[in-house]
Amino acid sequence: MSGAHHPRSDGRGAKVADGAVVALVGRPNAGKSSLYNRVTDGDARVGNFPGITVEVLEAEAELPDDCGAVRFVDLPGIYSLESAADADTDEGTARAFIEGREKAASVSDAPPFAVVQVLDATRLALSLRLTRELASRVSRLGLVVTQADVLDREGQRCDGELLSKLLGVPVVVVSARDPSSKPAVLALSARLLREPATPRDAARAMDPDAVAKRVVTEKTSVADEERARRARTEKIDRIALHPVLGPVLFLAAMSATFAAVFLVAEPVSSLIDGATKWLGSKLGPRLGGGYVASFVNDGLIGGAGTVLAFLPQIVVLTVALELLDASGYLARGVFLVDRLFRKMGLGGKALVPLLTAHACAVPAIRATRILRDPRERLLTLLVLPLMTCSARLPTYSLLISTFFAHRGPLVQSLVFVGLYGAGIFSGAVASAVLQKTTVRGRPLPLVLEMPAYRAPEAAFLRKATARGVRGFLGDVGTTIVIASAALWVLLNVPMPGARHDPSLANAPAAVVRVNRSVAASLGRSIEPVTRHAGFDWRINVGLFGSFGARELMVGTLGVIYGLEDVGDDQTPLRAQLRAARTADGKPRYTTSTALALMAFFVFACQCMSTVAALWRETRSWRWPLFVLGYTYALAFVAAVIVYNVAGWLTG
Amino acid sequence: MLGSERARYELVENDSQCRIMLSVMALSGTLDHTAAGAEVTIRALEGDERELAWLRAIGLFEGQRVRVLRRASFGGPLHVRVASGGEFAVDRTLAGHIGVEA
Repeated sequence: MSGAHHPRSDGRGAKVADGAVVALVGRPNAGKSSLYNRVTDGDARVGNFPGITVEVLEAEAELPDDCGAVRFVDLPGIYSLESAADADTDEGTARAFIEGREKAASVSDAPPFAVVQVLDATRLALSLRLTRELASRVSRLGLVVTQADVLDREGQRCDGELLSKLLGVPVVVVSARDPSSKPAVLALSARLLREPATPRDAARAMDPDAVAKRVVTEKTSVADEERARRARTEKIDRIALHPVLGPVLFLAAMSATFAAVFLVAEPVSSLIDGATKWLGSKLGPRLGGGYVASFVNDGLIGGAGTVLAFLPQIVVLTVALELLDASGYLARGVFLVDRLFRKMGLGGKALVPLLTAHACAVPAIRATRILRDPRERLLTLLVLPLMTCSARLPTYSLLISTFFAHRGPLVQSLVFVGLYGAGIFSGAVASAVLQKTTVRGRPLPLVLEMPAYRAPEAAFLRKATARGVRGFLGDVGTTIVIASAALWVLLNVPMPGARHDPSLANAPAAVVRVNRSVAASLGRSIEPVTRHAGFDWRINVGLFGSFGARELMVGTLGVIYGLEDVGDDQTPLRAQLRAARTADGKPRYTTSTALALMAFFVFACQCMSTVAALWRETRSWRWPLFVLGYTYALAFVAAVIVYNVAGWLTG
Repeated sequence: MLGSERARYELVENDSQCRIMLSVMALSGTLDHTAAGAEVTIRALEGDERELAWLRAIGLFEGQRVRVLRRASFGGPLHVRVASGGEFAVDRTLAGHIGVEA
C-alpha cells in the first residue's frame, strides 16, 4: 500500500479511469444504496473480481474532465473492517475486496483504486469510526456525507470543508435523493483517481466524536425538527414495539404479506400460464408433432412456463420484504423475535433469510450473508429449506382441492395454514436439534441498528425487485428447465424389455408410452419401499421429477395421467386422481395418501437450485448433501407415519 | 442492583486458554440492569477482543452516553439510543457485559 502510483500519462489516449475501480463503502442504513443507484442510474450488474466468491454489484459511469469511464462497485453495508468474523459474511467480503484491490493497485503502472465512503450526516460520529479504519487501509479515500437534507430539516448543517481540513481527505456533502449528488460524487471520484494519494494520518488519529461535534453545527435557530423526527419514530415504536400490540401487529403484517402473495399472484400466474400454453399450441404443429415437437413443447416450453408462473409470487414477496426493510420495520421485527429465535440457537437477524425462504430458498440463502456469526449462518442455511416456499403451493393446492373439497373451504384453508405452520415448526425443531448436535454453540449476541422510519424510494424498490427476478430466472429457472427436459427423456424413452400391459389396450398412446418408460420402471422398482407411505409408482415418478425441482410435481402427474399441460386448471387431473382405481377396484389414492404426500413435501429439499446455492455459500459438498440427506429421511419417515396414522383414524 | 461495590472475578473461557479476568462491573452496574428511561455512560466492555472491536465500531464504546428506551419482554433485547446518534437493539446477555455509570 505505497500509494505512490502515478496516474497514467494523458494525451496519448490512455485515460485516468481506464481499468480503475471506485468502491462505495458505508454503514448499513447510511444511504449508500440509494446514492449508488443515483450515480449509476440504477444500471448495476453482478461484477466479477478475483478472490471474491460472493457477488458484488458494479456499473460503469463516465467521469468528468475527460477522465474516462470508471467501474463503480457497491460493497455490502458494514460497520467495521477490522473485526470481520468470517470471510463469507458482508464484512469479510468488503474487507477481502478492499485488500485485494489495494494490493493490485500498488503495483506500479496498475490502474488506481479508490474508496468513497458514504456517511450519514445525522449519525456522523458513528460513520467516522469506519472512516478511521478505512484511512489506515486505503490509499485513496474520499468521503460523501449524505442525508444533508434531513440534517437541514433538523436545523443543523454539516461543514464539509472543515471536515476535509480536519481529516486531510476530500469531502462532499450531498442529499442522496437530490439529482445533483451524482455529479458531486463523480467529480470526487475523478479527483481521487487523478491526484496522487494523500497522507491520511490525521484521519487515522482522529476522535470521531470530537470531529463530529465540530463539523455538525446548529443553524441560527435551533429547530425542533430533530425532536419532531425522533418523536415520530418514537411514537410509531411505542405501538410497533409494544409488549402486546407489537407482536400482534407483526404477525398481522406477515399474514397480510402472505395473503397478498395468493391474491395478487394468482391471476397473473394464470395469465402467464395461458400464454405459454398458447405458444405451445402454435409451435407444436410447426415442429411436425413428433418426438421433437413433444420435447420442445412439454420438456422445454412446459419447463419455462413453470418458471414464469412462479414469477408473480417472487415479485410480490420481494417487494413486500424490500418495503419492510427500507421502511425500517424489519429491524423492529428482529427486535421482537430475537428472544424466541435464541431458544432455537438462532438470532433475531435470521428472521430476514427465513422470511425470504417463504418465497424461495435460493435468494434466502444469499440473504444469510447479513449474519455475522458463522455458526448462526450455517444453522440458518441448514433449516431454511424447510420453510414453505412458493414452489410447494401447486402440489398442496392440487392435493387439498382433490381430497378435501368435500369438507368445505374452512377445512381446506386450515390444512393450508397447517402446512405453513408445519414448515415453521419443523424448522424450529430442526434448528434446536442441530444446535445441540451438528452446529454446536450459541449465536453471537444481537446488536442491531434500529433505523429511523423512512418512506422507501420507489426507484430503489424497483431495482431491488428487478435484481430479485433476474436472480430467480438465472438460478432457479435454468434448473427447472433442465430438470423438465431430463424428466421428459425419462418419461418418453421406453425401458428396454418393458412388457406391454394388456390392461392398457384401450388407453391413450401417451399413457401407454409413459407406462413403458424408464421413469415408470424406476418408479415401480422402489414401490415396495414407498408403499409404506401409500406412494405407487406414479407418485414415485412425480417425486423423481420433483427431485430436480418440486415445481414439476403437478405437471408430471398430469403427463402420467395422459393430460397435457396441467397448469392453472387442475380440474381434469383432480377428477383422474379421484377416479383412479387399483386392480381390485379400490380407490388408488385416499385422504391418507394426500396427507402423506403433503408431509413428504413439507420436509424434503426437492430443489437442486437450493442444493447448488448451498454449495456456493459453504463451498463444500458436505452441507448440501447433509441437507438432502436429513430432509429426505425426515420426509419419508413423516410420510409413513402420517399415512399409517391417518389410515388408522379413518378406518 | 447486582453489580455491587465489590469487584467480580470471572472465569472467561477462550479457545486457547482460560484466564481470570478482573471485571470492572462494580462501578455502578451493568446495562442490563438499567431501567427504561434512564441515561448512563458506558465505562467498561467485557468479552472477546474482536467482538469488542466490533461493538466499539458500531457505536457502543467506553465513554458513550446511552439512554435505555425500552426493554423487550421475556428477557428480550434492550432498545437504546446513543449520544452519537443512532438506536440499537442490544441483547440482554450482552448488556450484562457492558459496565455503566449513572
